Amino acid sequence: MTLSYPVAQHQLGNGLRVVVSEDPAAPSATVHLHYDVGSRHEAPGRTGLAHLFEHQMFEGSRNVAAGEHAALMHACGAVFNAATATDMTIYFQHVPAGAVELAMWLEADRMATLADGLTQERLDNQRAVIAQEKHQRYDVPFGSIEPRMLKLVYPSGHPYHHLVIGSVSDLNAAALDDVTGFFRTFYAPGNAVLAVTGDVTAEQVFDAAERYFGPVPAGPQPPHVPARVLEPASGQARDDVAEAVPFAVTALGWRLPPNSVTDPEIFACDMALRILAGGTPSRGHQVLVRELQAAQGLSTLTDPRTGGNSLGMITVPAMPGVPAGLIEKALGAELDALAADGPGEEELACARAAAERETLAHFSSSQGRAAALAQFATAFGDPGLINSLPDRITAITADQVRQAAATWLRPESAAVVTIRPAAPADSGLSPEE
Amino acid sequence: MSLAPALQSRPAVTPLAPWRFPVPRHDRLGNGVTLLTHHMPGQHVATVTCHLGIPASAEPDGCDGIAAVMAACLGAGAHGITAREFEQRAAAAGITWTAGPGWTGPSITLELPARQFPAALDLLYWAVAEPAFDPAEVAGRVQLAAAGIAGAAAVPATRVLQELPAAVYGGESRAGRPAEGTLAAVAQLTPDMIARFYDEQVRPAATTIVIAGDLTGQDATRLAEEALAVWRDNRPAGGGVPQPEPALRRQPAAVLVNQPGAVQTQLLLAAPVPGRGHPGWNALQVAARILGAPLTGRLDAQVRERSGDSYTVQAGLTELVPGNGLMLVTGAVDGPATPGTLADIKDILAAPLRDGFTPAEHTAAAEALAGMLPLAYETPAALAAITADLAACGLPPDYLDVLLDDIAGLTAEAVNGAYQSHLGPDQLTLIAVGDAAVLAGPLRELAAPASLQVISA
Repeated sequence: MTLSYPVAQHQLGNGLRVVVSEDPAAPSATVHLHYDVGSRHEAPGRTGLAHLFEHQMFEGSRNVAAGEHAALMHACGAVFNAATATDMTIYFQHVPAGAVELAMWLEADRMATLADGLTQERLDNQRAVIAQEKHQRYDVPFGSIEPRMLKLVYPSGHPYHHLVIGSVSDLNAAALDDVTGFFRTFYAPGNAVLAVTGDVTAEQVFDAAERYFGPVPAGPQPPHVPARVLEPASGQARDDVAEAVPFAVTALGWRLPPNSVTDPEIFACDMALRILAGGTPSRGHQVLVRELQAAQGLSTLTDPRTGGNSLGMITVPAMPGVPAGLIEKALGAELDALAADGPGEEELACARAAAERETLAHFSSSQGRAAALAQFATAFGDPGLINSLPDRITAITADQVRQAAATWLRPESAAVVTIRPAAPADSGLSPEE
Repeated sequence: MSLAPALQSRPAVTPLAPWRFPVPRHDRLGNGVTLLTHHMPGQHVATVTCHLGIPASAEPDGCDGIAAVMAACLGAGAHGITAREFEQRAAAAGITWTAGPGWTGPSITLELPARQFPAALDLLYWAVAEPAFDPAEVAGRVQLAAAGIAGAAAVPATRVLQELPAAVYGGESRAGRPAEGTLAAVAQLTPDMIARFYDEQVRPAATTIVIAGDLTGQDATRLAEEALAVWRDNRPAGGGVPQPEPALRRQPAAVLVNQPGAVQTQLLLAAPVPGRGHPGWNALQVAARILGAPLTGRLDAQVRERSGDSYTVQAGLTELVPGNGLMLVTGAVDGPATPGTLADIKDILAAPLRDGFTPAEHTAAAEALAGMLPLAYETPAALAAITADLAACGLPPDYLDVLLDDIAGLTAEAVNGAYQSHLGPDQLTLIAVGDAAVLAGPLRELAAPASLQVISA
């Protein structure tokens, strides 16, 4: 379906692009600032700096004390957060409509004067917090699949080889100068897009943007980091680890083509992954869950990236006692079949319907719309692409899916990560206590 | 362009627009099903939730979790429709189908393109009125449910929640065992037991369907009436086992689940508080916010922003059993630093018993809650979830309005008074998942007077 979200744009003299999508029926608004910088821009030996910097953004600027951003936002009932990814860093505030200007002022103050608030003490504290964040996400049972997969899919030295959160030794080596330098290099208005959605008018937002962000100096042009697009991998890379878990999990990962607005190949790869492993109608589910009763379910990930190959994954938790090799073999047969014959009309229709629903669900909140508008503006210069996205996804043909599977999703180009039970697999199902 | 930008002064926040919870349209269908409808213009993806109204107390002895497994089987085919065909119909219409457990009863939640309401209601009819309970399919669902429980037990963040009911209420009462059941109880369920439980328990009059999304051009009541009219069953539902009111353990439990080599410790502290609808609950919402808001709460101010020993430790109120509240404090903390962090957390929870909260803290927390609640229900998924929950727990549709009004009228003294009367210092239940070789000794001391129970993962 074609969407009709209103999209208005304005660019300030210092280069900041402002995008507004009015929704007068909403009781709230989202102020979302997207910086065109992520972990792919980090220098060797400084992994994790983009994310460490994101934490520093809450540690105070010239007119905002450490912690005051959070306190001011909480006091008006806002929900706010930030996130760092490979290609972007985002900051958002979901606020009652009366707090839109406060959120914009807070973002402008830290964009202009963050360096004033940086101290060694706050840097040391947030480094410790990030070490705990990393333990919580990755050092738990089943938690190491992502870092292991990235190392296999992207070669050493590739900007996507490392986790966004970085290595603890690199974080410990980061000095205050590194953080200040990162700010001066990447946090300029010309390297950002401000998207505001919800109960606002475009005129009101453009006017406020001129007042709050207009005085921020343009700053230097950030260095261009060219995209590194590789061919599909050849020869299966593997990582097999035993943990205290009750069943095995197998993950297959692939390099996919970069995100693109002109080439639908990444959408075709996404459709192929859905047909293989996206929920109950998928081939993988029918074989592994229904027929063989060997797996609990299958899930897929398509992470479209602009600075190099996107990432595609299929993750399968096995039933207790089922060896991981059985899962991999069955998936290999399905990958071969899809590459040879392409999808049937019915399964393609199911994949289209799921992709369309997920896209629309993402846009159901003002945060989701703001994030999409800012991302399209940053990556492709056109926030209006939000309205044609469902149609571009559902236009994918069976032949495009077959071609994508044959080119990118070969069993022999998959990286395979396995987490398997350290003890005999059936021990996980014996009643305890 | 000046190098030192002349920034504007900080803008004021204009007052909140008055907000009232969007009360759903209420219908009773001809067969007795309760239908609650939210028309949300512009929301292209809708949510339909079907709550079966079968409380955990209706489950037979030794069959904890049978209600949730039975609900999971309702999507596994119907008379004349194989499980695969059923799933195919849902997928072709872009409909997701998820069954989940709950103390007040299991529910099925569908997410769908709003234009697919007729298809969604048709599927729901076949699932609840004409389920097949094919033995092979049912056996498969039982195995999946058991594997899900085993998987959650291996992960610290979910393991602490599995341990919570028994730690608070003791494992002898149903309230002391998880709504989704235990591995042992679920693994022994048979297709016959599940089909019989359906026959005894699932009734139109106990069922509530919530619809939220853009209904422009669609009459939800008429669609539901047409789809479900044939489902008639006026037999009284089976009684189940009469359950006494959940009683707290005489002494709070302290449990350490051993996870050898763990670099962090997952902590969960629980204190019994009044349930929703009680004035004490409303006042303690403010207290929990002061203590446990992310970044700005007293807990994060210490364990995150000062010591750096956790990514976050947060506090909030919840109910495992309707009418019985718990204040939960939870977070993953540095393994070796666990004893010191736990002592800090206990100090932070104890301090307001002596000194109360400051007026500034009270004002900020009350205003935060007033601003946050309206933001929380903007999507169909969120609105359908809270509407189904309120109905299942017997709370009035204007429950959140009353809560907000009450919080706005509370004084700082009232919040302090509620905290001091409901949170005794010796009322804390402790659950930890971490390395017992390092932690058992120090936690034993910190848990006193409760005696620490160490169990293997």
